[in-house]
Amino acid sequence: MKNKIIYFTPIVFALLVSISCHNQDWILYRASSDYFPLRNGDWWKYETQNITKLVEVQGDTFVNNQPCIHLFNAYEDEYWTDDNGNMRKLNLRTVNYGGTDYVLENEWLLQYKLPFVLGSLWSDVFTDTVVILGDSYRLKHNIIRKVVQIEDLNIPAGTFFQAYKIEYNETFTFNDSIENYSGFEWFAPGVGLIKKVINNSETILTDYSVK
Amino acid sequence: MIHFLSVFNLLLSLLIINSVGIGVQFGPNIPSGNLAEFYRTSTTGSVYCEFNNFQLDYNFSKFTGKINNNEYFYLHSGILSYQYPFLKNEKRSLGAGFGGSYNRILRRYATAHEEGYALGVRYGIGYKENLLTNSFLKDLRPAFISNIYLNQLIHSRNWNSTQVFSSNFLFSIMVGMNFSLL
Repeated sequence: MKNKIIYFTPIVFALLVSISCHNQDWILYRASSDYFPLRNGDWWKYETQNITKLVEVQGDTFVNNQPCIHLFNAYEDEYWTDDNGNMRKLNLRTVNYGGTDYVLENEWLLQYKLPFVLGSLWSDVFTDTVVILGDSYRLKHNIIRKVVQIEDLNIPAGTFFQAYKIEYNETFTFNDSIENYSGFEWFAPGVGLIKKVINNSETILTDYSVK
Repeated sequence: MIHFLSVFNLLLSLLIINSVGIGVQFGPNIPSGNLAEFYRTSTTGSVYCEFNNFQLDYNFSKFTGKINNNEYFYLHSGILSYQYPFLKNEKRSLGAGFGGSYNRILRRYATAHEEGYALGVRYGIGYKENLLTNSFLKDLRPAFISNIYLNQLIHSRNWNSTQVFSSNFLFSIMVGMNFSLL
């Protein structure tokens, strides 16, 4: 019996020393975490310059014969599809000329490619020519995102470890006008979007409920 | 001082070799818990050597992502374990294994990849059936082996902080061949 204890003691000791090592890499934790949860009833509360916004998953539905997930984003409808980790959002954009609405864009553009892996890069572009009252207008919608870093964040909703920081750039060109949005987004494991800084405007998660 | 003596005893026991064996084994590696949500079951290949009641393993598994088929998760494991025999005779042996593992992880998605490691604890039971009680090549005695292992991968960000460690579990059910050399 004494011999067995002599055998086991150093093994257990070595294990305890190993386990107590600091700053281990959490690659497995990241690999086994959901960074983009979209389940029925999930909700997130964000704050931008003292204005609170609620994002809530409503459930599954169909739009343009496409099965998708329906969200309320600040009481506006938002639709997402999940095609093998390719998260696409319905971009619906209209312009009003002479009291008539003309559809400029009605496309499922790629927003995120799951799973997030450091260095991963994706983009999507939509180009079209729209004829309005006899005149042709060119439009181009371009989205680029890249996973650039893994960070820990301490925000009002809590402390989040191993969040992916994503660089974001979106450009919409219509005729001579250009809309440009660029900045960074942070996604936390099991929660989703926790922070974004777009065109120097900061949005932070203040509360959430994810199943 | 006690730990020093224990380590010294361990080294001494490693040096006095009474039995040596080598083996190969294959079988499914089944993720459980959170891992099962993201990765499919993989085939694992393992080569190992054993001396006295210790076993040193190298395992390799390649898991495919469930969310995206283009994601792969490579697991290289080095495992040192102690086999405690419940039953041991000329014909067969049955024992419990307990040890530690060092796991190298590579996660690949298209051209992007992440590398890291995780320490773990491995435990399970192993059965060995000697195929020939009389050696046919003097000191080479083949045996059929079957093992059920659980490799508990442990992450500890900071032991002193309030951040709790997390674990992921991998079950291996393996069969293979073993050759006793001594």
